[in-house]
Amino acid sequence: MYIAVTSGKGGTGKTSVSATLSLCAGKCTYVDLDVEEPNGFIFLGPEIRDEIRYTMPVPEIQKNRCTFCGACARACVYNALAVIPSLKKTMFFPGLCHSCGVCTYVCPEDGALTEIERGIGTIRTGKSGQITCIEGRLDVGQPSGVPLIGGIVENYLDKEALIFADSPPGTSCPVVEVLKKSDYVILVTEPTPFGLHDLKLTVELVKAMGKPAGIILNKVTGSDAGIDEFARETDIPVLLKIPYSMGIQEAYSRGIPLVDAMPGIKKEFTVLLETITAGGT
Amino acid sequence: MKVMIMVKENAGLDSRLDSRFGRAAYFLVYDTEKEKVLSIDENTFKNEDSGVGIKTGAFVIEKGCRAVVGAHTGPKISEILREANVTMIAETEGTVKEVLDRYKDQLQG
Repeated sequence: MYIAVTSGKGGTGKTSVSATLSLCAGKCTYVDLDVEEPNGFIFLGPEIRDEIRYTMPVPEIQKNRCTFCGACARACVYNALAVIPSLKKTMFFPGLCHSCGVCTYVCPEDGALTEIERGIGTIRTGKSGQITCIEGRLDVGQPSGVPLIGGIVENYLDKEALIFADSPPGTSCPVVEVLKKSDYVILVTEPTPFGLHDLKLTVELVKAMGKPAGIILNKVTGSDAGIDEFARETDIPVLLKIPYSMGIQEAYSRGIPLVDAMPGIKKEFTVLLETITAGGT
Repeated sequence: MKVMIMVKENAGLDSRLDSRFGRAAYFLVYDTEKEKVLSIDENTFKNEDSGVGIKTGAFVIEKGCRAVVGAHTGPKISEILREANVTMIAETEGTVKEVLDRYKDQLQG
């Protein structure tokens, strides 16, 4: 079962929740798909067993063979290639390339366009107790984490395993990529107008994607800022409320997982997990 | 020299500048020696998803323009335009007539 942990607003506690779920589940997989700022390994401290570069095929122009006919640029729907016959130039913009391969397919010149592998990020895997830990880390300067996220989901996750995917915040392409293959989505939010506002956006997204979802309300002090009412209206259950406490914050500031700072919460997470995996809520 | 000016309407020298570069409504080409508008082309790729700047950059060069006046260009268009030593003037205010007057020193030759 693939459970995605996401949120509209940043800093609500996705990593705290997904790391704690992993620690409560025992044998499972924790995958950090927040590839622009993966930091879940700070909580879990896995022993790294493997580190590989993630690459994508991109065209490489052989200047001496290119006739500047422009077939590649016309075929590329992403406009990742520019051909300027008057300058005898063919230019490639890797940030726009989706690795579809159409340019090398349509090129009429033998060997003028070849495919090479271009690294966009690093995938680290390891173990923390019974938890299989996977992390995607996008290279600085890469315009999109989507291919790296998709590559990890496709090739690194055992479909039979219990998986907790730590998502980036928001509702844009990287989040959609994390949610695509998920069986259940946990929406972490906080009781503030900002938390509610961004929760609404995320709920729209999960509804549009047809994913079952539940809310974890973190840092609860008193008022719920209208989250409970919104949850009732949209028929999304509030699975758990985590209190705001100085003890938790202090532990967080030292990289200590929630469940270690507040052992009593383990039972609540375990019950929550049983409900979700049993197909309830 | 030939200069391309990114405009939002097809109104000759009175056309107002567009606030966008690669997604401008029209591309106007003016010849500073002949002192006349050579062409106004509708931007046929302004609604494409990505890389319109790249197409626009290639279009500027293929039209033989030595200068371009429009919104501030991003890194990809700039890279293409630099290849052909095209002078880039960032300007989105006024009409073609006003712009030609405002930048006449840079648009000579």
